[in-house]
Amino acid sequence: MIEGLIGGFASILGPLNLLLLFAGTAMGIMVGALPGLSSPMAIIVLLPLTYSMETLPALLTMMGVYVGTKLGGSYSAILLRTPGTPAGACTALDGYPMAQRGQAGLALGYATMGSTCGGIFGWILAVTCVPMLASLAVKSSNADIALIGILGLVMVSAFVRGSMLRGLIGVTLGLLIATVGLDPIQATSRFTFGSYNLMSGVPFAAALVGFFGIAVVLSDIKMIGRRSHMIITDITLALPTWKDLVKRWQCIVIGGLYGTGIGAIPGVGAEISPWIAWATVRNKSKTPEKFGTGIPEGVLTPEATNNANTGGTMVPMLALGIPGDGSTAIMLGAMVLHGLEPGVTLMKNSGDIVYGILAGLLVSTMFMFLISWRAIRYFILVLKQDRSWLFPFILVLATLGAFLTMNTLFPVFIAITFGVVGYIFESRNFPVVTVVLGIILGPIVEENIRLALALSNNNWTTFVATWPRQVMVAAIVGLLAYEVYKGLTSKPAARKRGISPKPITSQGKEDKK
Amino acid sequence: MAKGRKRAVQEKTKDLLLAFGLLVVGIVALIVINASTEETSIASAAALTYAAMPTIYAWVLIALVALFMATTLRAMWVERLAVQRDEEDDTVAPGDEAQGDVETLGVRRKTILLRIWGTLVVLLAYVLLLEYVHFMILTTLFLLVMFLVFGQRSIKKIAAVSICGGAAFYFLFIYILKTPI
Repeated sequence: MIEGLIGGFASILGPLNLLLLFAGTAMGIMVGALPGLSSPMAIIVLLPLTYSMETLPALLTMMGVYVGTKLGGSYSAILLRTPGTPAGACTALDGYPMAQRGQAGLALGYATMGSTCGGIFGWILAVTCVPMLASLAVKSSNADIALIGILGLVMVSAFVRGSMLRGLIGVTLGLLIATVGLDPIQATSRFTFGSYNLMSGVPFAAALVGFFGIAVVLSDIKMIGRRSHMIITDITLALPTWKDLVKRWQCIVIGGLYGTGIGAIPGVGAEISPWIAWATVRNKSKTPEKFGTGIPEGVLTPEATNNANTGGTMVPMLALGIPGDGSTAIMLGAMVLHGLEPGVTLMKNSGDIVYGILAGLLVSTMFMFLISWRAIRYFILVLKQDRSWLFPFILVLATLGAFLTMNTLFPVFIAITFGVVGYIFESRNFPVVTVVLGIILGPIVEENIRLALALSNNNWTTFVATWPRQVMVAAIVGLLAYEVYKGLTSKPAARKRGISPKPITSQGKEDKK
Repeated sequence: MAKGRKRAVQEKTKDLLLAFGLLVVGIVALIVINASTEETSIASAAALTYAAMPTIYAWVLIALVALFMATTLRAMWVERLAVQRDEEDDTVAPGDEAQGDVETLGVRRKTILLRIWGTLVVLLAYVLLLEYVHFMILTTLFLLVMFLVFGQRSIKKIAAVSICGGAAFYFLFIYILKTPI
């Protein structure tokens, strides 16, 4: 593992890779600071630029964006009380009152340090867990891989925002879309309607461009013209002293553990974990009543959790090929476009890339700290900008991103179609990330189920033949049964509370992002 | 009148419309895959044929959507009863206060809707014309029209940003990256 990691650092420490990582991180901070814009969207607009790159530089650029958006979200949370990302919402609870008291620089300083320490914490756990899990996963048979895929999809449905039923509908639609094209075993065409373009399936990158580029622009059109009023315009970052940080070590450790642990569960990570970590630290505190009034612990904890999440999501993505959120789904897609085969064999076949990505995660976290420390005032300027100047550029990049997948206009029309579908889904509170994960994991699940059956003489008991498979099947059945039980025992909201439920609105975009 | 509850009923109606669309997708998928006369290219004794997984997914989708429709209808029914009760009691439900400036809200919604449709129409036109009009000219025009659709009115600023944007895209994607567009 150590040799691999050293090799990973050696491969990314070239000037071009460092420059791309730096530029990606800076772009991520900028995008994260803008409420409504998301990490997956920022990564998707980079797609057309990364086609011509080598695999590792392309993924490093995306990694930089992914890490940068985590911190950027806290800028607007602290200064505007409008989090740039859903994950940053918790930071606003204490960050904004601090800014109101004239401690905006200090709040941003705690956010920067929390993100950096959390990022390093998450990185350590990711570097430890990915090779271990990958070495176990590589011994998996077809039945194991199929069950891992199904479990991942059920977990995403269960834990993603909104109800599990909506999540399952999204996943199933994604699985159905994934069956378009030639089937993986018999090479028979399905749902192609005579179109040669659909023989190799729905262009995956075009679908991503639609879901995370065009759909997000359509959803965020309502934010055009809304001017942001910053509580303070002249910001100087005030980093906390080491003594202040050491005094609050529990915030970083709890945030790091929750961020990495929950981040590793597909579909859960970014949105929930900061709240759980914040509540845990508050409950352990001797002065819980001060939380929410503007104390450093309330900024440090969610920010440490946010960035530890990046390490957590790397574990299932790199070891099992299961993306935890929208951003990692796009990174998996980029891997496929660059000829890699994500999944349990990724570490074995492309270990250099995996270690390069892990090394990039740490270096990007360092860049994030440096950029925030030295140049925060320039990034805060974007908070005042109107999105109407940005969206047309995103649409052009989305069009080019889709076009370049096949060098024809066909994927562009696919992207526009999925953009409209994604917009309708989001507006009805169906998380599009479930559809995307269905599209990604669909071929893996189908191929492995059919191969497992073929290799076991069509014996279905092969899926419960070993104890790990039994555990996975039990987990799948348990999650589904729990949801059915919850659905049967719950009463409609209006009757239960005697009040009208809030109208359903489109929610945050990150890692539904 | 309980406008908050009526709005909730309207939202659920939109949910039902989406669910109906998904139900149609599931049914069409089921019919198409099982009516397929495709010859298999490779002989196989596997338990699952090419049509098996799409059929399973389509049935699961239909079942889940049916369940979703049932729960939505149940919630709608409860809301409707509550609306009737409120109307009889002439009570003000929570959320009514938020309806303050309904007219302004209506105008804003209309503007948003127009912008969404405008975006889709202009984007489709842009894509359809890509093969016929020079990339830089078309992209500049696209940016210009989109800025107008999004409510920008400073012609000088719009023109400057559009021309610079079009030129930048041309330089990066056509000149540097050699995109075959």
